[in-house]
Amino acid sequence: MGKLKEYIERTSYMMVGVQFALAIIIGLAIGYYLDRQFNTFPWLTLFWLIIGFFAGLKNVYRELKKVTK
Amino acid sequence: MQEHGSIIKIVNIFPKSFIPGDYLPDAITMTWLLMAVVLPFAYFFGKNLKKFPTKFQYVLEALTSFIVYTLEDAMGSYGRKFFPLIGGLAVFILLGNLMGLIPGLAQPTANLNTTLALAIISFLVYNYEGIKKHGFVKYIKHFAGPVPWMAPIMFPIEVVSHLSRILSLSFRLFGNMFGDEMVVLVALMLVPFLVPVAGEFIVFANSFLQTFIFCILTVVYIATAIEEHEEQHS
Repeated sequence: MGKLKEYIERTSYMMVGVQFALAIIIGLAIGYYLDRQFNTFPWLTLFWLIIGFFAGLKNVYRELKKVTK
Repeated sequence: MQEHGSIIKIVNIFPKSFIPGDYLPDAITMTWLLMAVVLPFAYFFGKNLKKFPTKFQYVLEALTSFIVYTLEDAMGSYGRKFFPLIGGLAVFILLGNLMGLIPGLAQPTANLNTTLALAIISFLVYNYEGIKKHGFVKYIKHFAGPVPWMAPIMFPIEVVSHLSRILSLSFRLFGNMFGDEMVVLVALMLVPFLVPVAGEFIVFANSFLQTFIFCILTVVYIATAIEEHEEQHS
């Protein structure tokens, strides 16, 4: 059974690539929506884009921590 | 897609209103059909379980125990509680995917609305379990990260990374199923003789794989939501 658990953990590494892209897109979408609400075009979009980028990095980091453990 | 799709798939059966040409989407009618087949079958099969299993019952028992072992591996004895959820997701997604192989039927999972609903169920369950295990304040506090002055930055980062889980779950299932269907349709348009069989085989193999991935990832998310705090204490 221990083998299966290892396999389950490895399955979640398949997520990383897609999640990295999706995190950036979600950040961009939130920023763009807020900008249209408040009429402050470039700033919130840029801010949330960076937030999304770091969220993607955090996903990668979380999986990396599992590998090295 | 509809024009080519209607060659092999009977689409748009139920009228939504009396206006001609206004039909319920395929995903809904196919989900109803799936429910109409699976629910009575499960009810009557569950009533007539044998003590010495027949071949078919043995196959179902093997699948059931596989799901139970997976859950116990991930979460210990607490994981048995989630068997109805994971089993239900597995049955719905697997049969929904395999429905596309029957001529005349379409896949309910080849529609983004269906997969998004499934992903949101999984998202709500793992957040609910995390909140129930650790309490609301502690669970939210875990979002803020270990360093206090970085909390305002870390909080949106965590929220975005959790939202990306919903989208990647739903987009993967939708993309795979929709793409497979398109491969079959394109093959059918270009070379109608014998080549689409290869496409149908891809649909067959991929539907098992995607079901497995969806269920395993739901299990992993629930397990991490429950475990996260135990790592911090040690």
